[in-house]
Amino acid sequence: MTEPMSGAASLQRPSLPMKGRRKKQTYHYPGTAWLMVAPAVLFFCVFVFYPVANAIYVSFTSWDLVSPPKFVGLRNYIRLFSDKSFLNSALVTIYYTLILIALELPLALGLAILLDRKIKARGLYQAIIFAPAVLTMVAVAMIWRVVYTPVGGLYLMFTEPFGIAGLQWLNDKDLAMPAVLIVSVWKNVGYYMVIFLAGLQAIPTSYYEAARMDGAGSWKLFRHITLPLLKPFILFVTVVSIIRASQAFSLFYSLTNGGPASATKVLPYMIYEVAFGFNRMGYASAMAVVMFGVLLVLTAIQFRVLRPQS
Amino acid sequence: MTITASENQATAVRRNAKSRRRKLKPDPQGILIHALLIFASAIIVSPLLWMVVTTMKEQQDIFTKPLWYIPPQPRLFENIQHVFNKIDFIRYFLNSLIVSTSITVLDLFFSSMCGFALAKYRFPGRDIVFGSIIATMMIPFIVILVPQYILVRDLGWLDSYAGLIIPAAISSFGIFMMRQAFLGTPDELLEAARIDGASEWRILFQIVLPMHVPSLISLAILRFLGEWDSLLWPLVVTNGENMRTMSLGLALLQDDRYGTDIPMLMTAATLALFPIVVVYAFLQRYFIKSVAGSGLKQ
Repeated sequence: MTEPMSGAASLQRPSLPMKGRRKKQTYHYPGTAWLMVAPAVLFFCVFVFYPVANAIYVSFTSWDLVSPPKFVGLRNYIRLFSDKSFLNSALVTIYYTLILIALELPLALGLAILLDRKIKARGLYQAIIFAPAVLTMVAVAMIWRVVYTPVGGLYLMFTEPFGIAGLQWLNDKDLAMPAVLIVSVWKNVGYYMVIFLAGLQAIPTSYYEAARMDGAGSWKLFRHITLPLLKPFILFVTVVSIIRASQAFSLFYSLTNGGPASATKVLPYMIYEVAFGFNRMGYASAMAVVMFGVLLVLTAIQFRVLRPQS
Repeated sequence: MTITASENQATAVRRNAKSRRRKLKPDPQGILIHALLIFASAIIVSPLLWMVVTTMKEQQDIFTKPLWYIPPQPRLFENIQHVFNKIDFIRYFLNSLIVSTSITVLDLFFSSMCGFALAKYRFPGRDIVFGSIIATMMIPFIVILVPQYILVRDLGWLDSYAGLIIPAAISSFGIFMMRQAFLGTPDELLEAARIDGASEWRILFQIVLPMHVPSLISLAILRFLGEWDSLLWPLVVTNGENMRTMSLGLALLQDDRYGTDIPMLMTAATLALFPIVVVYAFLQRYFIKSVAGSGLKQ
């Protein structure tokens, strides 16, 4: 459900057998096959498809979980678009997602390029930089909350040389989101670095050798060999990080609680709060449905734009 | 360092000389690369190291002493006691272990079965089943949070292991991953086993699965870590102390009603991360491989 790689396969086009090749052939152990598939099919019907349908239905109702749901038509959706706090959350989510990607993708790629060679302690560097990816998010948030302590926090190690101290990271409207972004980059960069590194290592060295013999410099190599061949990985990492960033909840819950003054109240946090804090299931579902729609459109666009032509 | 055939000997000599020189005076590019990587590693490690240092402090040390001050009498044990006084740490830890392990085991079992059928049999409805399971990967969890909560409530599973485990028991990601792995299994192998009289189930569990242990390990690591980390679902579906998971317990520990005893918080974080770091130290190769593989076209 919350597995880190839920977007992993969205890239690979399912390689369904071509219709033409299936010449009236008899089925292959259909009974056994269905027995093997049945638990999963049943599971997805009950725990995914039914809830999705239900989410759409609930989004057209007003429901506090206690009295029966009341059908209200499009009212929730109409209200959404004039709801300042929803619009704020949407903007905060977009801001967080875009800046995070702009920071972590180049950093991850840069680190991967540094590690894509035979150097001493390569495995150690990789293991250290990847490590935050396996650490429990809530514990990470606890650490960083203390790192951001205005007086006595570890952040002073980096700011004090510049004469900056006493920053109210988590209580200042303008600093809270940067604070969250720093933690996110710290936690994710190794994860994407490892994926990029796998991509870099899949590029045959003979390509580079050939280009170098033609007199290409390192920038040209990067621009004309590395980058084009890495495109599927860049697409993959972009899709995964958009999905992950737009769904981030734990970090916001345990680092900032959406504050101060809703400056870090991303949509998942707001949906959670509206549903389970204010018991407005219909309104929360409408938000979730809108968010889902936007994500679907975004993913479709990304595939159009970034899919490698082959 | 391109070597063409004609220059082979000359280059070999030159390279020998070069590598001897390198031992004495490393090239500036190499130093720069190491410097950058050491800098990155230091940024990654310093909050974690500081967390450990903080477990030895007293609350007032944070505000009055230098950042990396280690008291002459470390207060680690007192701080651990504080953690155990505040929360039922062992219980949360075991809950997380039970929930994450159960989900991982269930997913490995059912995803293998489903993935195998999708990869190796031709049966009516196969393409629809595969297509719709893959499509669910696009659904953000937050979309089904409310209806899934209602469903679990109606099933009477609120605040129970069933409520924590069953709705997460099978993942489309797992099915996809195992199917891709099984696609590479040669049909001849299955045929040979059939001729020897093995049933389809036996072929799957005794012949094919043992060949795919690396994929199973990857899936297990990704699933386990994901569930160990999960906060939103336990937050919604549990309400008492008894079913609280590690993540949820830590998140609530931070709440202001407990006050902010910083060394205690850092001790709790250290205790929570310690097992993961130990496991990671031994199995980091598998962890990295399971993530690296996820981006490669299978």
